[in-house]
Amino acid sequence: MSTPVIQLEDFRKTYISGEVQVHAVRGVTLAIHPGEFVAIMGASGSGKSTMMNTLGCLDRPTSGRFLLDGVNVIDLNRDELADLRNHKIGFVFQGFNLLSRTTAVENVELPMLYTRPALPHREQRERAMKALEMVGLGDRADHTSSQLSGGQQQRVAIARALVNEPKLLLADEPTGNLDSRTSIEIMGIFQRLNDQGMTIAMVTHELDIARYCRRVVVMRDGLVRSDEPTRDRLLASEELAHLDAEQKAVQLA
Amino acid sequence: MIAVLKIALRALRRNILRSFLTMLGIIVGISAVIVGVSMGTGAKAEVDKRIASMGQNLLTVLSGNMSRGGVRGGFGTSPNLNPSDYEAIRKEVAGITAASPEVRTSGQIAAGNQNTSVQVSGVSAEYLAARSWNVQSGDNFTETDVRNANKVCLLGATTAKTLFGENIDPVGQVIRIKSAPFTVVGWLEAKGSGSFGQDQDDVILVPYTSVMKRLSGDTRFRSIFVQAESPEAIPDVQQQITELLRQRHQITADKDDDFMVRTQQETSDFFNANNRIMTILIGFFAGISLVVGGIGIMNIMLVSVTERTREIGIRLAVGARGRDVLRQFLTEAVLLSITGGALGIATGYWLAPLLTKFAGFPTLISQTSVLLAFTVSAIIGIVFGFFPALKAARLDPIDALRYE
Repeated sequence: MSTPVIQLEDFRKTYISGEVQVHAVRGVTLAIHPGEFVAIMGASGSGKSTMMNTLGCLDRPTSGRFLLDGVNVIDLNRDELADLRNHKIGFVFQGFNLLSRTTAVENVELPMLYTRPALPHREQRERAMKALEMVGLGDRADHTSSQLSGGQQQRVAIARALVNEPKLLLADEPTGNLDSRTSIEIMGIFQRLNDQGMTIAMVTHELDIARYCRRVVVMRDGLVRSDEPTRDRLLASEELAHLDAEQKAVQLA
Repeated sequence: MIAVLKIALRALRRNILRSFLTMLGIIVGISAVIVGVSMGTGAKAEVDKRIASMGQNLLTVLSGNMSRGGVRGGFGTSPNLNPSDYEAIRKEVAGITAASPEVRTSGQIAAGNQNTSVQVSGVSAEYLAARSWNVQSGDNFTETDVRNANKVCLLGATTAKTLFGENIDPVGQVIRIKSAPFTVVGWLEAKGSGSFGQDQDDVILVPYTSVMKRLSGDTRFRSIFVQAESPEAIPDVQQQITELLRQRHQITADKDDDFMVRTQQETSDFFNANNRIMTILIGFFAGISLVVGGIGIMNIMLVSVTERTREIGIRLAVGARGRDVLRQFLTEAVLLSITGGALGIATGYWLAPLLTKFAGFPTLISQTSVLLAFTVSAIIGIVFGFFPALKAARLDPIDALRYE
């Protein structure tokens, strides 16, 4: 089998707030292999956000081992972590986190601004446009974030996450701010990307959304409680067709 | 780099009024520097011009410095330069091309039905040469005129105008100085203002012997002009005259000179000392204003960093290093300060001529001061922008992303 994209061994994270030690994650061993589509589920306080921050190289484990694409993240300094985030990880957030008053295409170009060595500007623009077309927003490239709907903003965020061809796409409650139909559309994009070989890890607390993934990891109190393949996996294309049919029926009635 | 500049420009444009108000401190400070320095250089240029108009390589021997009972009268208060001192300087000092004593008197001057009161200077025939002065009509008086104390005179341009009217050649006319008739032999070229701002053309030059014998009865000179043959010869000539006069006046080694030999450089230094104090004072206030402006920039950059914490978080999350963020905010601060600097320079260029026009103050904007002002404003941006930029660069990406 190929190198896992993510390999966590006895990962622990302890926060010290004042005198109290908070054990957010207390010993997680987990491997995510190329081409997987994993949902990490859990209630708030289960440690899933800490997991996400660590997987995204925004934070380092207190103890344990964390290999990202074979690189031991524990030994890296701030700058090296920044470079990892730039090259190997694409982030999608709940609140989209686009730069306001900045056009879609410029938002997508943002990671390339920090890529070393820098690409020529023309190539940056080409790649950003390609990423936007991939999420179906090629015609909205010049719209600023505020001129786009929530679903469109999240698609721009996905394009931004993809533009540097990362090894891993990380999504933190990507459908949290979206209505159900748009949520399914976003999951459809993730499924299509996964079918093309992209490894995706996604944090969610919605069971319906987790059913679009291939594997579900459930966390509670800083530990993994279950880790199994998705039962009754949903396909976004089918669900959307289903929704359309229902809507038609309502209109006819 | 261009991308960084574009981001900074956009961020500043987004808060255009705030950016402008922030720059105001720098604008005021830099324009004060430009105007202040231009006043200094302008005044110096004016002084140098006037001193140069006195003549080239000129030394002035001033009599006086008499002290009586501990009270010094100042130079020129007690004429103690004898005609023999003047003769001695002419004969014994090497490296001089011209020399002339000066005795002054004033009195009623009349020509026809016009009369006026003008300063009458008694000088030698070499006076015009020493002061690089020419006649526009007629001739200088001669050594013979001096020897015989002839009643001849040269009219300054202003005096000629007063007595005879504009553009009328006075040569050959007779004027009365204190009722003594003097024949006008030469009409002097206009020379403009002197080092004290006085009109150098409102003068009548007559042989010094004529003044002493026929007009005032003075027997001593208040000053002697000496022209050295070259700028390099000036210190040596100054030294020779000092030694000669000390010896002639029998001044022992423990006593001060009872005269003074002043070069044009010293005159220039004397006037420019005041200018320098003024320039330093203006520079000091401009400096304070620049520091205040810099603090303004720091303040607004700190606000900007706080406002844009989330943006910083996003940038860090997609792979910006700390130094990328640092560079971005530093660029913004420097852009603010150098734009302020440029506007300040423009304001200075606009203000300086106004100052000359309405306050009559000579100004001259030097390229050095512009370059200096620009550099200073860039440095202010770097110095005062660094702390806020560092604060931004050190943000924790997780905290920054969570910031509302």
